[in-house]
Amino acid sequence: MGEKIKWTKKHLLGMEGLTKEEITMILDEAKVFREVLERPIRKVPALRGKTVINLFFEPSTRTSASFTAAAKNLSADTVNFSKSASSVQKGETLLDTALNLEAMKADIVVIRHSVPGAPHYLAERISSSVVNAGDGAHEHPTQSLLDLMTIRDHFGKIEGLNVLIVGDILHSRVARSDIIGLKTMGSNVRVCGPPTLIPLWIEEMGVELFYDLDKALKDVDIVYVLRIQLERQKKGMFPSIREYRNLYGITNDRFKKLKKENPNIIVMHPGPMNRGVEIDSEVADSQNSLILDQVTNGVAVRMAVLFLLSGGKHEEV
Amino acid sequence: MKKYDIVIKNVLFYKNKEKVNIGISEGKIQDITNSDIEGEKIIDGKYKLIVMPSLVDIHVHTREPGEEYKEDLNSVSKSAVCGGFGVLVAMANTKPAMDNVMMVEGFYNRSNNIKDVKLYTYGAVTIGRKGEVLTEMATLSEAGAVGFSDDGDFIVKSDVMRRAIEYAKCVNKIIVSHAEDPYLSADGQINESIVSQSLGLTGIPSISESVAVYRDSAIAKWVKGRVHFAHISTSWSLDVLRLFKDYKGITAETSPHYLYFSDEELKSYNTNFKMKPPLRRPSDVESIKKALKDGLLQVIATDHAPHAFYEKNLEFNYAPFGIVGLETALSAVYEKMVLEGDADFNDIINWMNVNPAKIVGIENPVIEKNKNADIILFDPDKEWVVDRFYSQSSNSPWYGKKLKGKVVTTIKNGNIVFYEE
Repeated sequence: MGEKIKWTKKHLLGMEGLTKEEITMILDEAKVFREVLERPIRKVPALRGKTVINLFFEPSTRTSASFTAAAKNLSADTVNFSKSASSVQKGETLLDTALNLEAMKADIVVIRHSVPGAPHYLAERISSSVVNAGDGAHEHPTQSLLDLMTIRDHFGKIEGLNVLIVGDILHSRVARSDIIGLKTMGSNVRVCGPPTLIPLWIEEMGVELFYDLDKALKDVDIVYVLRIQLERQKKGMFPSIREYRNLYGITNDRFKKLKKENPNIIVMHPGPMNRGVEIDSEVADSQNSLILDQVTNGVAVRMAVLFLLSGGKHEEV
Repeated sequence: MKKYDIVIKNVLFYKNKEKVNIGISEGKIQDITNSDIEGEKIIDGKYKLIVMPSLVDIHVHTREPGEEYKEDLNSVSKSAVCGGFGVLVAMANTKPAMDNVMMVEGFYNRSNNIKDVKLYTYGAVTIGRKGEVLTEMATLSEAGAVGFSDDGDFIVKSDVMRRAIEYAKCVNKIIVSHAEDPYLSADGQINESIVSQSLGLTGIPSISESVAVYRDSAIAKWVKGRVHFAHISTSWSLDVLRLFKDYKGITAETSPHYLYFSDEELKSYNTNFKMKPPLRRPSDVESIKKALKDGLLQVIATDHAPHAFYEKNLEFNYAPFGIVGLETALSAVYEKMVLEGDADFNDIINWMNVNPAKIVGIENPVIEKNKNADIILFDPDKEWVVDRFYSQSSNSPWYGKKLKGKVVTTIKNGNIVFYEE
């Protein structure tokens, strides 16, 4: 699997710039690792003797845990740094951290940072491979890859599917990476949300834009629900949580109607969810939800990414 | 035959590209002639170098006092003469602000030690540049302030701006408007466009500038006062200026980087392309160039804004806004407006010498007999890579890039203050 082309990239900074073949290669590797995760002993020696440093400048539980699990499953040594952005402001710069990392000779650095471009900044200054685990509102490539894996597993394909992304597109790195990833793989992508939370040039990314959720939902295969950050409302980006839920929430009522039209409709969410706001519990926990598959696939995809970036060969698995 | 201190021979006069020889003695231009003249020191232009009066920049952040680690009056002067500037007007956002007579007098006392360039300063419009209480404009003016600006910040309260433009009439000085609605540009890092969208950086929309240009234009016209707009960057502002073009109290400048770069440059997240207002779309770049030719914009000023390397060498959002510009300005303008456009050196001298001086009411260097010898020589063919700076700071978007055309000699009051082969 995936041997026909060789992996050549040193870093994974975004979905931007990845070819269809490269994405397919990661997903194929991830499928192998997903099988490893089903084994009683979920550990392979692929990254033995290598060091993966997780550098989280923003609070994160699931992504950080997922990368740690992925690295450990590959037998890598892991070091976890987590720093609040405030300590950075106090004079501990990313540059200093980068120089320290360089001195520690890490093989792969996984970085989450609130400033867009921070992984690119790091990649220019250290010799390790850099994996973007989310940079501000820019990209979150491993989330997109695990979403693509989940979709491919379920539908057997990605091409030609109608995918609707609902919510705060403006501030969402998940939306940016997913739009790029889905478009690269040939899906039809729609976005829907309040106009104040949709960038003005979104259609230039090749997506269809809707402000009316019910129209947007017509004939979709997948509804991808984004987390709405409640502080956006306080900043006046939209009038109230109640109105948001009414207009853009995947409520149980709305979902029931939807299922009548398409019983096989799929719901996804990158987590963590605001139950009762952007998605109702009945929807999130329904048979149509792939939300927990996303989490499991997250570990497999991150194993594949770490594996490929470290120059691993398939037979070592 | 009379021997001059310096003779510049075989240079092309910027107005008509005709060969001239210039004799300089006692700091003044003594002779401008076709005939051979003799001098103690001869500079040979070899029928290639263009001779122009030195340039005037009415938008320079000297950083002194307060931030001398970025720049000071001495280093900014070295930077200026390397770029062909002979006259600078300093912005008032020093620390503390240039908001009282002691500060302005202090500035002129210190600038007496600077011989390479003539330095002037703006005064602040409001105390502490806080946008509330007007400074003693008449007193500051008396002490030498050539205009008033809270540049760096917009005067948010419209009534304060009205009083400022109105009051400045008593000294016939300009108020320089930093036109930026801070609510529309809040948290913004780069121009709001497809580029900011794809980079995930918060956008600064063109309208944050143009609505402010409208407000201050309307105020100026209403009170029959004068406003000068700093660093116009977007076609949206040009549309507003066009509405007011019959009112003579409104003038406006742009900066070399708005003629040269668009926000496409930001795709590398390079903080040397981060400034306010931000680089706009390629179509804005074209509009700005056209507006200079049409006279809607009358001035090119650098908005020279030095920052230390370590301040700029940060994650994008943490790096400060601003770039240095003095050393690259003329080359950049020449490349975009003359080589790639249909402007000539007369236009350049209008934008970078005549008009800025007239707007702030100071004398501009001219090449005429008996005038101070404030002269530059420009080599239009010289290609150079921007890789070292006379400024203390090197935060330039041209860093590492090649430019065509370079100032090779700068003379101030008859002294050669900059020279290179």
